[in-house]
Amino acid sequence: MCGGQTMIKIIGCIVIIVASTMAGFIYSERLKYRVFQLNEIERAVYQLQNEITYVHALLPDAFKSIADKSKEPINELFNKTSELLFDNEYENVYEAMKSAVNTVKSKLYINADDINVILDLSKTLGESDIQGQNNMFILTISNLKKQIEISEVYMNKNIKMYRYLGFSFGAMLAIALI
Amino acid sequence: MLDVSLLFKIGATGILIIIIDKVLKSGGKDDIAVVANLAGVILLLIMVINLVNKLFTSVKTLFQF
Repeated sequence: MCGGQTMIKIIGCIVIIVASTMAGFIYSERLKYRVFQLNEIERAVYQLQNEITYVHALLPDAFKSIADKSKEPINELFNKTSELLFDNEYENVYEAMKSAVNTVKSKLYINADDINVILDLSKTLGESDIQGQNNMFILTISNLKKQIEISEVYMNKNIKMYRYLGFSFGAMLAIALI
Repeated sequence: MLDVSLLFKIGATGILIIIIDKVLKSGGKDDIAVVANLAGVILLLIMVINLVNKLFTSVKTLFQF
């Protein structure tokens, strides 16, 4: 009887510690995803710049083409924007982009500052000549580079911390419950 | 006889609090480290409050003639 109880206790403690360690790991993965998605967005913005300045594509077509070339969550963002622009549902690019961001928000790990950088770009898309848009692209890319740098520093600082914290809190809980 | 397992529990909790404090401080989150320390101290107090209570009642009975 007593042996069985200690067995259950030990198993319960192991389950708690493993679960909280995994929670720490999963949370630290989010930081990695943020850097990955920001890099993906930077690449997409470069491609959008090419589409506009070199191919002279229409904005919905340009969005569609960069959506085809980018990876999972980011391509959905541009696909949605392209669809909304094709359907003429919104007055300007900014509102279409904003609504697209809201639809795919659950899959994006980037934070509000990063989203603002893209939305700032969409405010001027299609509203000036190529030179003006080029300037805006340069500004956006430099802002994105800054955000990537910040997120990389943040990732390197915190990724280990979240892992250790997950394990420590699990162990703490297990000790308190024994 | 005093229950020795409680002493081990307190020791292990103390070690874990030190680890959490170190990890949080190395991550630059000093304010959260302070909160975690406080939470650990409160946790330990909750663990020993029964013993403290027992001590006080026994002292009280000692002075009741």
